[in-house]
Amino acid sequence: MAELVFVGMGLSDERDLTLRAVDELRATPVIYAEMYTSRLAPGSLERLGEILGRPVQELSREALEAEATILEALKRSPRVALLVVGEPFAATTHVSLRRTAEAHGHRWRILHNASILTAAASLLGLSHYKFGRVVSLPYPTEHHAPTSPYEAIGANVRAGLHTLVLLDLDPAAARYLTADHALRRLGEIERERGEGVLPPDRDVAVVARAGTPTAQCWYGPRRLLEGRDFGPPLHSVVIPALPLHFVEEEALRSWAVPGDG
Amino acid sequence: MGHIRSELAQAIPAMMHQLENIRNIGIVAHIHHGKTTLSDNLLAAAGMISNELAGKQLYLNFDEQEQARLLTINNADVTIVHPYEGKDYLINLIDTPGHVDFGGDVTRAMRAVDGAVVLVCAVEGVMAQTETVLRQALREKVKPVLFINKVDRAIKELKLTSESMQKRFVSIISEVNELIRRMAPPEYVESWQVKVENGSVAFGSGYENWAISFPYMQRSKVTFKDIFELVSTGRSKELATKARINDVVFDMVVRHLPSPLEAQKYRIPHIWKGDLSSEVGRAMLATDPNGPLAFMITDITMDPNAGEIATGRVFSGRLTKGMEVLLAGTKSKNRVQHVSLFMGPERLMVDEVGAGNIAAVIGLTDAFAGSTVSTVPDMVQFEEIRHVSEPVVTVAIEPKHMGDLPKLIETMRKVAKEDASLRVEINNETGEHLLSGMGELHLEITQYRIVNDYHVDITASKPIVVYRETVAGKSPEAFEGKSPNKHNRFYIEVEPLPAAVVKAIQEGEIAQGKSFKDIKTVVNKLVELGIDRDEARGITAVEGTNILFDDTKGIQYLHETMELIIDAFKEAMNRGPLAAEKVYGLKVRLVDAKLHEDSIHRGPGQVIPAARSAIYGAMTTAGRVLLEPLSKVTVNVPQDVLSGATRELQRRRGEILDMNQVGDLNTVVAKVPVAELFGFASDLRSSTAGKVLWSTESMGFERLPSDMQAAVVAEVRTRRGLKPEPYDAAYYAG
Ligand SMILES: Nc1nc2c(ncn2[C@@H]2O[C@H](COP(=O)(O)OP(=O)(O)O)[C@@H](O)[C@H]2O)c(=O)[nH]1
Repeated sequence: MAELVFVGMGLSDERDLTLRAVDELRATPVIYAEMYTSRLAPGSLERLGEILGRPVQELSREALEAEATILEALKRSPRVALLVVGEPFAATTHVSLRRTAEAHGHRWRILHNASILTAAASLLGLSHYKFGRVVSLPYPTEHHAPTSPYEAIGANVRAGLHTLVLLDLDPAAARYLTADHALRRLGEIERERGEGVLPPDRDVAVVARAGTPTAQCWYGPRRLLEGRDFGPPLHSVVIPALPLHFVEEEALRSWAVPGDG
Repeated sequence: MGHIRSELAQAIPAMMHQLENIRNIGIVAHIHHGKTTLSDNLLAAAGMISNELAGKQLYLNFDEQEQARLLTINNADVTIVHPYEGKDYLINLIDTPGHVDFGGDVTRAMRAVDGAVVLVCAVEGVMAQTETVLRQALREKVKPVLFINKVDRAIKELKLTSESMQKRFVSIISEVNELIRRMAPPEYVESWQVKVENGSVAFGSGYENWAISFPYMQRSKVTFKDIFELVSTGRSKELATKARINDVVFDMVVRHLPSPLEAQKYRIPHIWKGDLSSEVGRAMLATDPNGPLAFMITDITMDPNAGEIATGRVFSGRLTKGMEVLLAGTKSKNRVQHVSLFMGPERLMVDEVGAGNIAAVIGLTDAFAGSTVSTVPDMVQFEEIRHVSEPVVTVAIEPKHMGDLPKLIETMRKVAKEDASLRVEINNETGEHLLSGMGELHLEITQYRIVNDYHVDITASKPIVVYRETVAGKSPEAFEGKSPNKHNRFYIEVEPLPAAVVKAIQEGEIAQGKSFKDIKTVVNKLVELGIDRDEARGITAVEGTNILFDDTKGIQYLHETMELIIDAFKEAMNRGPLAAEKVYGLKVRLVDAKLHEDSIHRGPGQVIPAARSAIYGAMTTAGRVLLEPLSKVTVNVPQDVLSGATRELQRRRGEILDMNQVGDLNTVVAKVPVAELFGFASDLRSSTAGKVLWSTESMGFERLPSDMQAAVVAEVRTRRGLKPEPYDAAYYAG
């Protein structure tokens, strides 16, 4: 009977971990990290290892999804930690690992942290209360080019709700879907479907590097933003519901770079 | 002779534009019925080679090795001029292989021609391969005429009387007509029947160089009795001057086989599914040399000097030296360096070859057999040339000197390009270079060519049998496959497809792939073959002889996941759970699915493994079985060594299907597993004192005896670097 601790790492680097997390990790014999659903600044895990005085082992998607590595560790060690970028259960599918651990008689605990789900809205000054379903946009490939993200955005827009669009990433291949690419892809679906959810002049927002010292955001017509370079990853897109509340409108105008700025 | 040839060389380029006077034909026959001998003598008589050489030289078989084995392997094509009723006709004769070990090639040659001379030995009659090659011709809408050969032998050896001989002919003719009735396009079943009275049947001896037909008898006043008389008294030479073989056969060809102008009208809609009212469509229907170019490549051969030579049929426009052409379905452009016609083993260079003719081209480096070559951008490709028979034997090939490896790989790719019934697989993981073909002999010949034509010294593994996997029955319940992130689940049921459906897939009536041009017809076809209509409507993909049906209703997001499920299905069908062999005749039904609502959590990395596990798991619970390839072996032996031959067949798990006797000659037909046929040739020769002729033909796959399955599975898996035991259902559920 052991304990599995899911630790949120926040959005920037090792210094985003809470003091409580650092204390607990110092007393945890086995520490794993998952870096395939998102990423921190390069070198974060090594530096964290030095701070903790014990190594942090990165687990591949295959190893984590197979669950055997963690279950084995739980047999050997009274406490195992799994570090996850952001908030452990926000934009990930680790809930099944939590269920499996429990089914094997282990306890679990969560140490929370900041998530892109809240950071993006905060940066833009949009009301958290007004967000609808979150959607992710995958890299379009020949056999997997879903249009359901567009449909979900449409449903949110019609309900007067903002949409946070998370963008596909593959840190192992250093491949990140950029916001300009994502906006072009959404434009492509708009042309195919023609439902008027995202016409070229529709105002949209982009958040880059949320939670890091170089965080920045933009707001303007899709046609202007889809041609811009937003700098290094990670990027997210936000489709605000229109019309905006005057407070939101003022916030966006003051804190986001305009589309032609 | 040189004189005749140079005259021909001058006459031919002008003649190829007189479309009514062109015939594109092939001769098709069961092995050893005398196709090569007949072809040679026809050429000799037409002045293409000397009379003395004909028969000895076996001209169409100009590869050394073919001569040694007396088998026609690669197509060698010729053009002949034949006068008939005051006009000169240009006959393009495409050579076809006589050994159905290489069956694919006959089909390819049939695409280039409009008519076929079906040759049947008077002594043996209609044989298995006669039926096969006739089917391949009819399926391409190629019109047949009949030549009954070796009549001299029937007279001299079987000592038949004039009446019993005529009876024999009648029975061969009606057997051939029965096959035509069964296999011809419905609109031609009647008009394509062959008849003695109108001269669409001829008799003769390719060996003794004479032939006769009913119209020719009336003209030349040679009677059946005369023939009997002359042949049985050893005066065949006299007959050869009275009833000249080339006159009789080519008269029949000119009279009864269609010109390109006539044939393309009904063949184009059959072999090309593009828009018939488009410019190129109309040009092909009209065999118009002034329309856009449409050329289909039916064969590629490697010439040591000239490189790759692509042979095929010009359906419209002209192939002109120096022109730039497009290869449909690719982005490639190639330049035509040379255009030529064939005259025996030589090519006759010409400036251009027009619609309705068969041409050889150098310069199409990106083409392969089956390519559509055109001047029209994005031309719809010609229908794929169907390959009913699939490779059943594989050898692994190694270069003797490691330095030759790159050359070996290139050579293997080349031989596969030349011979569409070969498959080459370079496995980078195991480092194996695998060559698969239709039989042991086919692979031996290919190895011989790698060594002698391409000068690469090689060693080859023992031949390995290619197996198939399927299931014994229906899976007891839907099998659940989970995605690695556990957020997606797929539920699959499997069972064997009805045999009639498998056959329809093999014969191309149900197309491969996932986009069905006319879904209604496909559904109706399935219903007609015994699939429930509701289920048939869910047809989603066909891979090999297997079908995926979507039996779910209204599952959200399933449509944008289906491509990935199809990918998983294809993967599973090409690599079964038992021994990583291809799967055969399986019905796969998706009955339910549970999907994560966000598309990023149901991408390829999640869906493909989940759907694949569900298929594998369902197959495991349904009872996996291994199928082995079988050959129909036909052996001809005299009475005194008959028992030696039957013993040799029975010793190899052979099942005798038929035995009959004509005079002293016995024909034994048996079904024998391919796995047992290795080394059969030499064993059979020694057990019959060499007095044997034999042939094989693919008979598809049948279940391996169950007491042998575990051992064979372990052997195949071990060879593939897998653990000897296949995984169980729990593994696929995990
Ligand atoms: N008596 C006789 N023998 C023939 C005749 N035609 C071919 N043969 C012999 O039959 C054998 C097979 O002939 P071949 O032309 O190689 O057959 P293929 O396999 O159809 O090309 C050879 O030994 C020929 O000499 C014929 O009309 N009469």
